[in-house]
Amino acid sequence: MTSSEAWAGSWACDKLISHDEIIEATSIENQLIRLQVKDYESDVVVAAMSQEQVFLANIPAICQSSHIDFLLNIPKNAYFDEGILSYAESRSFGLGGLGDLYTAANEKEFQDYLPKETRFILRGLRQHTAVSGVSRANNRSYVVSRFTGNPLRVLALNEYDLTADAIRSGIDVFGECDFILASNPNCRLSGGATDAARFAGTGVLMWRQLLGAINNA
Amino acid sequence: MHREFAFAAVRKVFRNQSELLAAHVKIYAFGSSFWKKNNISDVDIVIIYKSGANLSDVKRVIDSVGRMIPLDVLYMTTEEEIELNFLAGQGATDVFENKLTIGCTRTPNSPLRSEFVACEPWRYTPQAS
Repeated sequence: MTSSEAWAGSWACDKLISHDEIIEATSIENQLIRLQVKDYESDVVVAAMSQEQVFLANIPAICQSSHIDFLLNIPKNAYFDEGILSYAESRSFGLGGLGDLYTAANEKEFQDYLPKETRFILRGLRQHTAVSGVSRANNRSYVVSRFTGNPLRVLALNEYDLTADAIRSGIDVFGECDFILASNPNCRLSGGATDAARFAGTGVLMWRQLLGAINNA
Repeated sequence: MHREFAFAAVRKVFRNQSELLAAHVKIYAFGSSFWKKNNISDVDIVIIYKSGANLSDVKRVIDSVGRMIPLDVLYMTTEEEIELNFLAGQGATDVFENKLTIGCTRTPNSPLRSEFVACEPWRYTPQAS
């Protein structure tokens, strides 16, 4: 545990208690918090950390030695790799930032928590008649296997205003892709963003355009 | 997260880095943290820069702040800002040149209505070139 991690538990504890659905937040160990949530029967155990990139190797050790319900990572829009996503699913704990934990508290769903956007994308892609399977390469990238043709890698960016930097940074952090999905239905795309995507050898598609591209690409 | 905490933390760190940041970019705050008192999961920041500018130092500072308080950061060139009419549309506030008015009610393209100022104003004074 680094010094930058030691404070994460107490920091998060202070912030969580301000949420309307959380009755009590108690720091029980370094990086570990117990929550009492309104209309939720059992206590919720949250591990807290603060890293730009989250891998199995840098999560708090407590996540592997004890039961937790949710792993909170403080930076917004951090990278979660495939290994930690699979591990969380197999160990039944949710993952995400403070906003995700707030949403989980509202929805009373911690162990199987997925962001609404992720649920929508996974369900929509898996229901596509040309798709044989969908997996997550990281928390923003999806690998779409098709009955015919090569698998497609899709990077979902949820910004309301999609700029050139958002495209470049998205590719830098989450990896190259065949298509970028503008997953915010109200997305406004700048001309610079379109150019940045083209120069990176990809293109930005809205949801319906992506569904069509899966048939044709 | 309480609004006062969020703004106090952002203000403190940005103030320490004001010369670096102000030399390269303009920084504005916007979004739900202006009108929500509690349950603030992040603070929305937009960084406006000149096309072609090297943002590596700025991003390093912003990322270090983001590890202490969740920031939702949007980087936008001046051309993109004009194209998307972002600042007026969002009623964004320049964090260095204006008082950080929190709790104000704003509509697009209207001036800020300062109902109350719950934290200190920004004290940054631009350096003479």
